Amino acid sequence: MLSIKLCGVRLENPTIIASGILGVTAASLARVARAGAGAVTKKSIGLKPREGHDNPVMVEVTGGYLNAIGLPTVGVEDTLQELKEYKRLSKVPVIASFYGATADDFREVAKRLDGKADLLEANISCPNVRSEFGLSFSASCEDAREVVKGIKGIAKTPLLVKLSPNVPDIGEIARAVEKAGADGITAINTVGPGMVIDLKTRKPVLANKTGGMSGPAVKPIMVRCVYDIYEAVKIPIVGVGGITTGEDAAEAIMAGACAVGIGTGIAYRGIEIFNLVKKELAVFMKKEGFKGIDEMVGIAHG
Amino acid sequence: MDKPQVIKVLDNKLEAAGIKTIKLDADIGASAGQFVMLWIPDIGEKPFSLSKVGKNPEITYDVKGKFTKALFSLKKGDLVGFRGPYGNGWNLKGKKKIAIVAGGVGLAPLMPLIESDKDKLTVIYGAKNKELLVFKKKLGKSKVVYTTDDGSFGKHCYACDALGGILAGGKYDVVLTCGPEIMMKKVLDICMKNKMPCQASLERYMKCGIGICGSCAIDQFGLRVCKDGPIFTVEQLKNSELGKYARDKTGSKKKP
Repeated sequence: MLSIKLCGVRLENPTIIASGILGVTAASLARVARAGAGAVTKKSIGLKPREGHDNPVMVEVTGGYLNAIGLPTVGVEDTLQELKEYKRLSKVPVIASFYGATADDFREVAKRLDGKADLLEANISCPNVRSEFGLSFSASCEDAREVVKGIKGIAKTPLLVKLSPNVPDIGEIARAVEKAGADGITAINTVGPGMVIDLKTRKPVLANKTGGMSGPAVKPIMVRCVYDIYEAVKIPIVGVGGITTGEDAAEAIMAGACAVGIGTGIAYRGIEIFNLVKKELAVFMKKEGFKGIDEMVGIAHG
Repeated sequence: MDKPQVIKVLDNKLEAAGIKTIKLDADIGASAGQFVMLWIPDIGEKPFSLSKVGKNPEITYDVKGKFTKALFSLKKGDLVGFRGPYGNGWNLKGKKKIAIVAGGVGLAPLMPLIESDKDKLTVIYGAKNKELLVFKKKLGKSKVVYTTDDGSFGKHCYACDALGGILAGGKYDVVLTCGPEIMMKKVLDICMKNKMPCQASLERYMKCGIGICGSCAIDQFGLRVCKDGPIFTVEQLKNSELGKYARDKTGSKKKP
């Protein structure tokens, strides 16, 4: 009842661990797979090793968290070992998230990752590296198109493109990446960014000063973005942002998602969240008479 | 809320060369073995075990890098942030007779136990030399076997070397250990050989501290030091990365 196909890859259930969450090591991803995720995502991979931002990288706010981890990576070479190790440990499909400072970087990393994961996910929307990398590629149709075209010209593995909600018209960006050859869209990356200032020290808490917002409070923004993207494109959508319960997942699916990412929800419900969301989603579907996820995808439209 | 609460430093007392105990103007109702994330603005945020819990909690630490250097320079009245307590703490359910093996400031997360329940415990406490046995005074009348690497006090050996004799001389329900990784690995090996339950408090590079980011996940089961730990049983650590490697800020494997 819960199984789906995402860009040709069969997932036993529609829950996916979102990029950047418990995705540093193969053993950690395998544990999430054992906990019931339908697919796992290897934390964004860059060309060369990178430390990311200093601590604090995360701070809680009403309705969620701000984070600015800053894309730490062991680099693509060592990640290939980690992906190999994951494949040894688990049969659950793995998505390799990756990023670049330039379109050339994206192409280079994609070339090395091609065939080493079930799906690729181009992270063109990290909000926390603006001072180094400039405005994210997902902020303009032209930049997004250039990156996606480059990747599709070199890598055969199906490609998801992760978009930012922090744009005036996400549908327009989605159309651009679909036209450039993307096989699916992941929406959304974190919102904002936001800032928390400590009153006693009179300083921003995060070392990066700002951080992207995630958690239950961003869910309505995710639902609206998925809805807009569904109107704009034909390719499948993975809804990510604030999903904490099975009913949250159903809402994203009704907006147009065929799979859902879970991340910050782990802070509230632990790693068991995957089994909980699956159970709650199944209960909801039974109650409402849905026989499969497909029947629910985009049902809120028209 | 997982957000630093900023409080005043009550004291930051020198214990020995490079070792201080900081006392905080807070009330942290933690169980023994739990940790907090300390925050110094513009410097960073790092995990520290509490050597005293409850009102005016204490942290005993040695200087290692940029953060502990800054912590070392804090004076009475200065501000510092903390969030937590986090982690699981020692599990002493049904454990009546306890042996502790600690090296250097590794005794810190065990001090709340020792101070609350001196009778149950036998402590093996080692350091490089006599001066670095900073908890000696507080241990008072507990049953303690002291060891030093240079023989300047107690037995002239490593703390883990004294465990075999202790286990042979009495019946214990569990061994608790914290200190240098090589020492803990030896303690775990000895316990495994003797089929003795054992718990070890681990240290890994931590970022979020709340079990989300995955930076401190250890091989081979993907257990998170910040959330599933920092204290693990010998079964959880079987064939683990302990003593072999640890990951740095990028996620690369390095010597522990």
